[in-house]
Amino acid sequence: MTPSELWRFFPIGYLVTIAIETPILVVGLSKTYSVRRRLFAGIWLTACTYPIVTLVLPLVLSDYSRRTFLAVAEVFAPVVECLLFWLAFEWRSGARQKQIARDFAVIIIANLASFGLGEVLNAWQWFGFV
Amino acid sequence: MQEAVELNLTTLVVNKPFEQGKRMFVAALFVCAIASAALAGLLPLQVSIVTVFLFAGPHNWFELRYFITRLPVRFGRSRAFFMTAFIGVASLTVAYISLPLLYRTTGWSYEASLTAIALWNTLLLAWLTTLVFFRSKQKPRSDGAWVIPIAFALCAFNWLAPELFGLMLVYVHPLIALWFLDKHLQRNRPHWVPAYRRSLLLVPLTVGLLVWQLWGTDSLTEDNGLFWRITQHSGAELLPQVSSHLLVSVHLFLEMLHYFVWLLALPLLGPFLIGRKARQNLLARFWELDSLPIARHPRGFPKTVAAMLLVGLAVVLLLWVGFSIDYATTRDVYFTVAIAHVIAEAPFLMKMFQ
Amino acid sequence: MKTLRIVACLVVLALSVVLVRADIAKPKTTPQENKSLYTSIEVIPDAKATDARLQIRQSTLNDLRAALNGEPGNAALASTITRSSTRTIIAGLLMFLSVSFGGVWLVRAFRSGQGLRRTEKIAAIALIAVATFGAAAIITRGNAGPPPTYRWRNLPTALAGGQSTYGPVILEIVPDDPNSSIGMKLTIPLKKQKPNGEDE
Repeated sequence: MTPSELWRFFPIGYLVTIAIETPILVVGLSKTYSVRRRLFAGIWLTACTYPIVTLVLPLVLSDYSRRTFLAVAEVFAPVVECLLFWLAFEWRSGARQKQIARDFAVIIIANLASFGLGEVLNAWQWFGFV
Repeated sequence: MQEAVELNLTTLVVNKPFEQGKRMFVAALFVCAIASAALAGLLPLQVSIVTVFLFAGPHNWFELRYFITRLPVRFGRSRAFFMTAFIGVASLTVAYISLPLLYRTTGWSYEASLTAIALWNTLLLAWLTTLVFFRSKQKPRSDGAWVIPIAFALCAFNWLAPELFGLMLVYVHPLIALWFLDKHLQRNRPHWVPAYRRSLLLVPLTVGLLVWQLWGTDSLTEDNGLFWRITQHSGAELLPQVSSHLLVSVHLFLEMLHYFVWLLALPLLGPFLIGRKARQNLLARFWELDSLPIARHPRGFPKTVAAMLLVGLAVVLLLWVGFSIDYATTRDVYFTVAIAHVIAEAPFLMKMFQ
Repeated sequence: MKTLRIVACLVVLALSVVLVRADIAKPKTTPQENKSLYTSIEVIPDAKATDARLQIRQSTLNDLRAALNGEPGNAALASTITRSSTRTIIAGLLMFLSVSFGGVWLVRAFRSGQGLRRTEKIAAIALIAVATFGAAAIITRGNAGPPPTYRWRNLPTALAGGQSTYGPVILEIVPDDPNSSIGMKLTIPLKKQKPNGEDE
């Protein structure tokens, strides 16, 4: 895809992604965080990694197969989102390891869900909207 | 006790004309803004030529004088801040001047030139971020970490559209003078600050009026090199869908406000106290070196300061001569070299934040 | 916050490595690229016209000439924003860093129980303003809005109703075709519609 196409896809893909991931995070993240914080996490975590996954990696890995791109992107996104979540919410907060593990698992599940739906939408060519 | 007596005397001396002074200041601001907008809207090219000729050099001289006023006698804890500031101004200016020369001699492609501009803008942002950090270290309980995400965001915007980022600086720079004036009034005329800030509403209103009136007008003629330079400076090439008449008028209006602040407001509205003595006249006299702490101090540098100001005066005269002989070339040279004064404003503005 | 700064330095170092790699992996290019120019066109049905007329603005012609010569010309902002791979990569990395640092700083500022001080509130507003302005610049001028098919979907109806239609177009200079004497060809991205109005 050309940079123009990537930029065109960027806002739409972001909105669809947070529409999928935010409810999962709101429901799944530890209840020690307020609903507002969980909502913020849903919007913010995707906003962090989305430029890399949507703009940077497709161009950097343009000479590689789609499988390689997906492998890199779908490892990068959850790993970095877990790290950022930990830095923002859990580092030096006294959170227990069990809670941290649960929050990480929820973030990974949310990413897998948005990846899965993204593949479905790609198969249907985003219903002609992109 | 004696200081308190002197301060009270100052208050008595200034109290009577104090309110008149404030009203005159606000009235002057209104008149300047309205006159600038009218002239900029009606005769943008002609007024641009005249104002640059008359005021470009002198306003830089007054800026230099004002920056000298803000310099401490000894850097002390601000050493790192000022060294970074001076080295940054010098390096960025040299880099900026070399960009068009490199472009002409190396035959860069358009994309390569955009990358070079983006790199320069990135260095500028990195320098500003460093200055903010140094400044925050000097203030207790201050955390400069907030500047990191803003710097990254501005960098991202810069790399997306380096020329548009540069154009943004062209339009934002005149407004920095209004910020300087605000900080200056907070120090020297704190009771004027609310009235001044209310007056600032005039700026967006006037810009809005200019946009409303000039949106559908035809673009200005570019049938000679000078007119083309003026329209390009205002972003006509980057924003071809916007009338260059509108762009030049808005930019010129902001520049005229900029000149008003540096040539009239800041030089005339000096502090009431010089050292520990009350000023004899309410209006500052910019030719008096005593008003410069670095010149007045027993361990100061009066001769160096005087020499700097004299050299500055000579450059202003040289600029006038240059404009008279070859306006277009002198204008090109001036706006290239004058980037130094644009970026030098940043550290001195930061220093004014307590 | 000190840790945050150390992390920032490490990230910048990592960034330099990524930038080097980004330089190596160049995007694919077709063997022969036609000279092209991104601009816009308005299709106006006119019942009173006797000839089909193609009117080109002087500035557009200048841009086309410049594109043919490989010169910058008056490149519209829209095309310069979104066509460069290198700058898109760098902008994407910087956006990631900005949002990451901004979010961590914001959350930790609130976590410390002090909330945001005045300076920090101004900083947060400035960050949102920059992000909004940047997004607006991309969406309105950077072709990140609806795809071209969306702009042209009502062309048949507009033509039938005598109304003009306006949308993006790529001016492309192609090699001569010995099998065709047609001087110009206009292709409109128009999906066939079912009787119920949906796209096929």
